[in-house]
Amino acid sequence: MKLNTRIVVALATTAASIVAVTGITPAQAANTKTLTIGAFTTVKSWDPSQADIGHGIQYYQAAYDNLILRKPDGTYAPNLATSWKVNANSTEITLKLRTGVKFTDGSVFNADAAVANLKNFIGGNGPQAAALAGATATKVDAKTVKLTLATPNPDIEYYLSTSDSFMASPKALGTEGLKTKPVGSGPYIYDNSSVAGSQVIFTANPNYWDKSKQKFTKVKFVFMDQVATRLNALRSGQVDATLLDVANADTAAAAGMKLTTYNTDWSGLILFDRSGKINPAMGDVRVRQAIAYAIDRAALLRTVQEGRGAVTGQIFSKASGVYDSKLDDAYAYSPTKAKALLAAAGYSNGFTLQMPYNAFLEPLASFIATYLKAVKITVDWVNAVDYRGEILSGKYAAGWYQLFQGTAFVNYNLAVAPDGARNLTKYTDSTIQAVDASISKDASNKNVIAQIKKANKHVVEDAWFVPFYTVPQMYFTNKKVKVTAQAQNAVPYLYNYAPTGK
Amino acid sequence: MLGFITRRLLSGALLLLVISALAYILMFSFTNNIAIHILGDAATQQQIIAKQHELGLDQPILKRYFEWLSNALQGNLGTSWLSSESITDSLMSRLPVTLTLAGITILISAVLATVLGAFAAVKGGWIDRVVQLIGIFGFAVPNFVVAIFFVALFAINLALLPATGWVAFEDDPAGWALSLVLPIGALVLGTVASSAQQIRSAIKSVLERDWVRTLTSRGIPRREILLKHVLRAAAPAGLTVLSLQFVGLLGGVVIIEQMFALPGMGYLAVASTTTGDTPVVMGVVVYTVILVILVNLIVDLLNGWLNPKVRVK
Amino acid sequence: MTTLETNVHATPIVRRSLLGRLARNPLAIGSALYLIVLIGLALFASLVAPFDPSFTDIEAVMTDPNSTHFLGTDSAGRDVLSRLIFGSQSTLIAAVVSIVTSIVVGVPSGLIAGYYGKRFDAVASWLSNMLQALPVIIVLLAVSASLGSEILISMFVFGILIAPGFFRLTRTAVMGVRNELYVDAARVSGLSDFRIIVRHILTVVRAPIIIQSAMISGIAISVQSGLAFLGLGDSKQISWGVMLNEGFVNIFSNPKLVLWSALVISLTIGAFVLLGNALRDALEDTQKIEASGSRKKARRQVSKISSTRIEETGHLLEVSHLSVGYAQGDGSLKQVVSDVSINVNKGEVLGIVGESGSGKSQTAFSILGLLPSNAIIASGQIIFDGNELVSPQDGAVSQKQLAKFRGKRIAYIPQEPMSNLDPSFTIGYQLIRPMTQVLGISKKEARAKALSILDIVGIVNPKRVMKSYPHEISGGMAQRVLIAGAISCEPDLLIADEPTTALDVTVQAEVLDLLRDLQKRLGMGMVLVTHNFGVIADLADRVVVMQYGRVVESGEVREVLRNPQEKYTQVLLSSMLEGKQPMTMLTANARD
Repeated sequence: MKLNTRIVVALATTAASIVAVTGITPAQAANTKTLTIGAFTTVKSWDPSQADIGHGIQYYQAAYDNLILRKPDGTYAPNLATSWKVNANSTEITLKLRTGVKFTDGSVFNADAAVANLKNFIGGNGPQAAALAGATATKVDAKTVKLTLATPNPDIEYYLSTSDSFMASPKALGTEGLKTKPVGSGPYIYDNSSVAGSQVIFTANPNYWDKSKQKFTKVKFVFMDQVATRLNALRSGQVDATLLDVANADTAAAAGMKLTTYNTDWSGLILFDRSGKINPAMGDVRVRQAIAYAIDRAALLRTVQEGRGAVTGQIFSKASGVYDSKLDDAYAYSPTKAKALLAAAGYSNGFTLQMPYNAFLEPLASFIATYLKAVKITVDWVNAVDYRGEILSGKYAAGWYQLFQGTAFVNYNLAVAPDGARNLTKYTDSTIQAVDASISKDASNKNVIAQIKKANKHVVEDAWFVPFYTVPQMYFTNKKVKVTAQAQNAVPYLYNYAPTGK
Repeated sequence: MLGFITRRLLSGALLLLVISALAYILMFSFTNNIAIHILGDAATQQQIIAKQHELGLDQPILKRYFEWLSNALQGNLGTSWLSSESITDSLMSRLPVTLTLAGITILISAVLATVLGAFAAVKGGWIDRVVQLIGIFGFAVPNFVVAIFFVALFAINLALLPATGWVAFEDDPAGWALSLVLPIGALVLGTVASSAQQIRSAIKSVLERDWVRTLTSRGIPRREILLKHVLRAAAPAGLTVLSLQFVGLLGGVVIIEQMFALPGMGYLAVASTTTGDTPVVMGVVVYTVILVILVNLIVDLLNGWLNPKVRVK
Repeated sequence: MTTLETNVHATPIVRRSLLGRLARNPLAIGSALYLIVLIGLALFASLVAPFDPSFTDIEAVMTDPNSTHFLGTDSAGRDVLSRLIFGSQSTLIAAVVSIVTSIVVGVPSGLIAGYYGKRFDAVASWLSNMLQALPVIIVLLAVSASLGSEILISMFVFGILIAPGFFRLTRTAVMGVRNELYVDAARVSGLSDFRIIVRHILTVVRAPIIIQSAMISGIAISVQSGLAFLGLGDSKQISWGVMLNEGFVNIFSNPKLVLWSALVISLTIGAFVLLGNALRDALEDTQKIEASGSRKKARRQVSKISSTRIEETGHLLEVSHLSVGYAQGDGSLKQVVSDVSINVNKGEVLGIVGESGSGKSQTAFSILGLLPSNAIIASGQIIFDGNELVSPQDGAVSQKQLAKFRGKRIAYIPQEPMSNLDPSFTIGYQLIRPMTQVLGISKKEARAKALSILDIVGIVNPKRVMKSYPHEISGGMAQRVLIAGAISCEPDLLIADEPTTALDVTVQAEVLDLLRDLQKRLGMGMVLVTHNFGVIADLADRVVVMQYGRVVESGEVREVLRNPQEKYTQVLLSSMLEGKQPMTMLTANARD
């Protein structure tokens, strides 16, 4: 048993002393192509209904296939579905499935398998379940499935090419074992030498149906949640590719690592309490606008981000189609204007604003506090060991967040819609309600874009958010591996890596 | 001897019971945001409530404790809220790392501390002063501060040793050894510092015993008296010191594992604390207490074996 | 016998006040000053610090030390110096909260447990053991997971975890004092238990508690910094641990940032520990005399009496003008043996008699070279069979020379049988090993010899005794074993230090007979140290009387016993022989 062996080895080696050895990096045979990724997250469950977008998606991409493949530039290509059709109102998608694909346990991939998986996802209460809430999956014939949505979703292809359609073997669905070990049809097979929570190892699937997506013989994910750790691992050759940050970018570059950078998130404040229930001051739009005026984003970008990224005033990305450059200038830095607005709102003596705090927010948090203090707003930081849990609990009128910039619809759903996961107070007003109503009636791409443009303008004018800047991802690779960025994802998709041959 | 072991084990079991009860009630009584962590960014309020129910967070605390206890007695410490992984499994996979760190540290420290302590006790003079200063220095500079300096010097400036990461022994023995040099170095410094002083005192008090004088008068060389007789007599005190150090190390490795990204129990403890994965923290507490009990038992047995009054019965 | 005047006087021990003793320790002064400054900075931080610690300057991020920012700025443009100053507040709070909690929990419970004992003691001791079983950081992690990470909470819990130290300390001290006479007296005179405890017992534990507190402060600071470093501390409150974490996160871009907080943390903990150590040394008056200059100073005071070398008189052992002393803290020399001259001839028994503190044992140990390491031979010579063991210039016994003789030609019989055998080794081992070493014979031969010697000294079952451990035999047997060991290599000179004092009366006579017998048989010279004239009369040929380290009178046993010349000798004799049958005549006659 592997476990006992490890224990015996550890116990035996505690009796040995450390031998001084000259620097040696782990030897790798010339013809095995291994990809070692320094990962920011671990896998919580291998049940594909628990898959999420962002950092963790690479794990699932190793073991499973999606129905639709999303290319690095964001366009779609066939995968387990060879073709598909979305209806006029974006409430239905019909997919034709590939034949001849088998799961690693021998089961066949067909419409039954696809339906079972979709049902599993819909009812699985996973992180991305909201997108398919209330949907139904039906088998049309042995090679065709239909997914019927409860509400129109013009970006359904997006969801079916990211986290919502990883296909596991129908035999494994619903079993306890699937949580700890994946059974899929993907390019790599989970290796038992993996150590849960610290290292996940995959070997190439010899029976994989698409060799073009399988560029390595072995893929290894090493979990390192601290950026300093990842940097060191990269420099010493322990990992081939990993995500770093602005502070460490120069050091990595100096060590000969290659930077691939792309925008995915915006960083700033979300002013959740637009109705003033938690903090009455925050219910007044002038107060919120004052906060936006009070912060010098350019200076923050220069100092905290070392100039990397771009100042922005809106939560939608340039590529989303609803971006309006004029909105970026809406709240140019002006403490005078801020103070005037506060006075007009009756807060010339300022007020106290409670926000969650954690050490990782430094130095940004200190700067925010200083800017707000200059206009007499006192920030009362509440220490949160578990920052994410704390801010998402909905207790706070405002807080710092780094939010992902996806397509227009995805973003709108996430942060603006009344039941959006980041609209913690469920706030809405007549403008947004009108937008919502219009989209329900007409979910065509044209209308959706037009409506969300209106929504964007509204949330900027009503100061729902105070975005500071877009945050470029600093992804580094060493000489052995090359990678292409994936539009709108925190890390490149697993298919985008390839050995350089060095 | 058997009765002795049984009594100690029973006492240890009682200890474990009391501590586990206190810990469980303390940690699980407070609501935490674990559901949000599991569900991630896009979760709705309904989903969160559903998840909380799924995890049993809405049940009364005592009921949950007894459920946990009955499972634990069968060897099942539950599953992680975050990763659905069996806690026993993940702890068992982490244990070797922590034991390697703590074990090698204690071994090296035992040797160094004994050598230093013996020299200081026997020779006195400037060596004694130096050992005292080392003691103060090692005690005063926390091990993570030492580790920071090590990293800055050896990993960054000189780029001699890897600053982080664990290489499994079976993968690459040389890499494994290298990856341990800095973390164990930092731990050894502090451990030796505290132990050397106490071992010096123990040896010194043995040196003052009458039979040392008498054996010397019989013509046995001083070195033999020191190595064979004095060290042996000082061993119980030394073992006690080292066992206390080992228990302290179980806490001390936490920060070191964090800094060097070594996948041991301490690292797991910190990670699960920050994410509110309380069952795992509970598991770590249980394992740690068991380790402490075992170490104390082993030391007691060793002391018993060393002491003829106990052994020859 | 006259005594020569020497220039070295016995100096009375000077007892300084605690502060006085501390003041002589430069490290203690330095630490105390540092801590006082630190406390001052913490209390008056807002007055002293040049900047507000949270004042950020976005244009002056990560600057090097300059005229405005003496230690530079951090990643948010905050003044490092000001943050260090304000950070001292949380550091000191950590120390104070933990100490107070620890004392409040540990001391009263220790008092009650030690004084009243029984059930409370049993429960409290068990709890104390339980708390000590827990690794601190793991517990604090668990606590911060549930109760949050405020510094007050974590230090409070830490204080509880550390309380067993104070509990033990107090309990032990109380138990030691509980049965003292003055406590009984207080009880009898009607003082309530509470007053007894408070007034008498607390004074005993006062000092150890202060020392322990110093140490615990150091640990508390280390723990608090560690938690802050992990990000589990109170991130709102500026602390050195938080600064350290910030430095570490930025270690690649600005390694110097780490330096200041690391330095300050180490210095503060070091100051506490040094102060604690100094306090402990001062209280026990065990300043490191060996290492400090006191010893050398004392040696320098020693007058080098020009060696008027005594002509070779052919004595087996010749001790001339021997003075032995111990260095005091102030560099003076306390003499325990002053200008002692004795000699022993082959086959002769010399008795050294005197009260405790007369220096008789010290003289014996000097001959054997078994004085404690801090002893100084101030003057004199010791010559054994023509070999110089101590020469006038040395100031110390020549271990090299003695190593040749010890066990082989000079042997030692100690006073207390049980404590003079190594409890971890068998009797057989402790007999055989010296023989193989000194005589160079094989183990087998040594074994046979050991068995025969055990027989000679009157051990009934030598084989069984050889296999036994010291704790398995009686006191009388042990003394016989020690005697056996001493004579096993047939020494020329035997030094017996009160060989029968620790034995039962019935056994004493037997052992004395044995000694007399062996001495005659092997023709050994013997130095017999005792306070008992009866033993002298029984065994000795000549006797030397010592008082206060000097030889008062010496001469043939019969002479001295019948006609003591010196007043002291007379007093000694009369006090010992009061009411007893004078043994001298009888035993003396028996020996002829």
